[in-house]
Amino acid sequence: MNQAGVNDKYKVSPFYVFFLVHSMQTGIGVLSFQRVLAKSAGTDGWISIILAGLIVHIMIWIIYKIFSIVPGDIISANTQALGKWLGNFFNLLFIIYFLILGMTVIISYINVVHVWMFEEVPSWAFALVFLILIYYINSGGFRTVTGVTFLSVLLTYWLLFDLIYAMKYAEFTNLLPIFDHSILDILKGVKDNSLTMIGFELILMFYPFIKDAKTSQKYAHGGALTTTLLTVFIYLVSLVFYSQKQLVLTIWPTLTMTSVVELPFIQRFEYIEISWWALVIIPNMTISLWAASRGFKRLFNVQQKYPLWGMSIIILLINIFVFDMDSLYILNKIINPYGLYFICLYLPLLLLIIYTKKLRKRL
Amino acid sequence: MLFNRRNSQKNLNRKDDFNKVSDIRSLFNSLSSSNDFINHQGNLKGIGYWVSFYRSLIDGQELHESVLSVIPTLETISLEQIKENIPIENTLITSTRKVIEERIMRGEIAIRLDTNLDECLLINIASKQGRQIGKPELEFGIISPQEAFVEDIDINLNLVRKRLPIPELQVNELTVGSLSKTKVAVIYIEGIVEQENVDTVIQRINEIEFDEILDGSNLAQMLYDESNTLFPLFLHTERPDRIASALSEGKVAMVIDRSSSALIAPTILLEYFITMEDYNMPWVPASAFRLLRIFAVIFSIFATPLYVAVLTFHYELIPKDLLETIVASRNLIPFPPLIEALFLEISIELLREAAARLPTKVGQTLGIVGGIVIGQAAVVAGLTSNILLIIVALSALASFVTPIYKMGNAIRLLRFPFLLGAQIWGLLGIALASVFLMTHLIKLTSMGHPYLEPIYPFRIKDWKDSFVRLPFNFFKSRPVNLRTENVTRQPQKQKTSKKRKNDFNE
Repeated sequence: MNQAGVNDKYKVSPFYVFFLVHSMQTGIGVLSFQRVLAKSAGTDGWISIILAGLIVHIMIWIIYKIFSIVPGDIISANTQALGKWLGNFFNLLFIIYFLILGMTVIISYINVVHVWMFEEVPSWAFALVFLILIYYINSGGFRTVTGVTFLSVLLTYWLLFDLIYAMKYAEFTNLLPIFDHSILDILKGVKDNSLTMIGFELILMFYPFIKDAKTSQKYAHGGALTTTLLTVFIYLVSLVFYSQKQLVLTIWPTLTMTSVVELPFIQRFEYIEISWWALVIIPNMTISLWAASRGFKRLFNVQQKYPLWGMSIIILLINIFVFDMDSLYILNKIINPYGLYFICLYLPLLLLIIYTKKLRKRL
Repeated sequence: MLFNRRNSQKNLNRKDDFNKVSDIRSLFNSLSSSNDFINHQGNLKGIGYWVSFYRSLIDGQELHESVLSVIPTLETISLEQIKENIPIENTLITSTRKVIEERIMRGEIAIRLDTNLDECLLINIASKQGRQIGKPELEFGIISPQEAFVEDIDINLNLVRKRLPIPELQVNELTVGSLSKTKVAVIYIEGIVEQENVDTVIQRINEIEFDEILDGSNLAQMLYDESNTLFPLFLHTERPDRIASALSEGKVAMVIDRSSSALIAPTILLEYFITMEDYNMPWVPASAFRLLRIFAVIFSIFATPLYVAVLTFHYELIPKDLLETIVASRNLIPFPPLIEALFLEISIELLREAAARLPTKVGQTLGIVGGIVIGQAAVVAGLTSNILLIIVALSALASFVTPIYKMGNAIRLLRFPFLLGAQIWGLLGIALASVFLMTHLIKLTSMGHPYLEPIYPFRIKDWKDSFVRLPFNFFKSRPVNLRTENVTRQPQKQKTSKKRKNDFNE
């Protein structure tokens, strides 16, 4: 149980960690983070993003440090550090966290589709198709999950072109004033920005699936760095495109920005962007649900498909009975302060416990 | 006690002998019940002899020239004597029933003497009926060799061996099919191929328990890793040069008797968009045409679904000038875009299927009648719009550019799920269908090797010959994917004499 033994055949090369981390971080958050950030940090929002990026790097360092002492995944690390009962309690928390993360992504995306494209289609219909797709991907094992993630990152980067197109209407004085906000505001911005930053913690689950996992640390940092730079870029473009007051009122600034694109044969680019965004979102959902079901499998020794079915049914039921805006409100609350604090406080603590245990053993 | 046992053993032996005797006679008796089995009786110097064969399997002229006319010239008659004097190799004197039966069924004749009817001399004069080597029909190439495989395994092996005259080229012959007894030759170059691949192929062929294997594609389906897929996992080809090039890359080839298509395994998706012509052209046009082919395939899958998606859900996507044209061409059509598209797609599929089943001349006429008359009439009658007609015709055309016919078939069918997705959720439906397709391709393996390589797993070294075909000095190593034993294709030496200096000719 301690060693999360994975056959070499099912492992992936270390450099895919770049794509796994980057893709997991860049999800639904990128479409809408600007509004909240602009509210709290305004023109200094980019400082918050960079600070948040720094925190992510520290957390990734902590994760790799943990695994350099106790190789395996978070499930075995928890039980090794905290004993069977307490360890398994935290394992359960992690599983729930991953499930909620996946659920949030699915429901947020369905919400976007509802608002922008198909208002009459019921949520559960979308959820059903997504869940079948997720099951199909997951049934190919982690290798397939990685493949879909990798291709989705490669296939979506061209969307950046419509940000560059939007720069045609840039008003660069909007960037000023710099250092206008108090440190408290900027720190609040760090917190508000979290939805575009979380996702790196999935390393906790897929670490045993990486060949020469220790060498993958630079790729993890690279992925996080790319996300930070991308987010800063998007934020700066939004700042110069919108005025401050407008930005605070726009729910999905990235999407609204793309609707100005007009080519001779095509216009209203946001339809394409939203549809294409499915490619970005699906790996997000898949990895989270994969992690949750894998954790469940490790904890209770069942076949992975059963927890996956169970979780799919839970998500489907929520989509049938709860209106997406309502559930999203609750889920975002859970993820944003609580999930975030949980990850950011628990992981250093875990490292501390493991480290002292190791020292004591040596003494 | 001891004596007794020996005695009983002798008895047993005698019994065996007796059985064998009756075995061979009964074999000939049962063979004779078929009307095309001939028992020719001759007499030479008082000793009668029998020549037995299937009339339909042997070459009559050869029989007269090399066998029947030789026998009367002999001084004494015995099977050994005949064997010595007949100018045909690989003859055999035996009295084993199984061997005799097998060989007679492959077109050999059996000669027996009246003195011992249980011993046969088997001589191979099988008739080699079949086509002459012709031009490739399915994979025609303008600037490549004009030879194609025929239905005879020996001629096909000859075509391959002539291109790779090295002793390392190994042929491993197997027989499959309980009724058809099809000969399958597994070919590979020892020292290059990964032995595990060969073993897997041979093992899978041996595991087949089916009564008839009549063609290469028939066999291939039984060897696939995954049978629930549209995509061909083994490459069928009728070009010997393609087989030779695959073998030298480190793949395994299979040549099947009575089938003009040989198989290559393992393969990757992009290989199906490669023609042998790509290697006979400078790398820039070769790469350009390859990219064109890949673009054509993508176009042929997505064009009609995009039309349906945009016109059903997303009118806003089209700028107003273009929209006017489209609306003008559609304003008399009473159907939703999906029905319109399905109507045209299915009629094109009908045309294609009908043209494939008809003789060439009729097929041409049908193409004109179907393509021009029906298409034009459908537009005039207000059943479809002009624009869709153009899109559907173009995408049908585009699906023909794949050099491998089977891949074309897969692409032909792939567009229908996408059409369905487009009808249900527009662009989102197409996106979701694409993710399904992507996942399917990632999951597929050919002989255990990932199908989507070098895209995923990402291997930059193999990109030299995938979407583009880089110059040959990039072809230093064999594909990583195949894990070949010998990796280098050309020695890593510095070119000395031919290297030009960039000095503006001084």
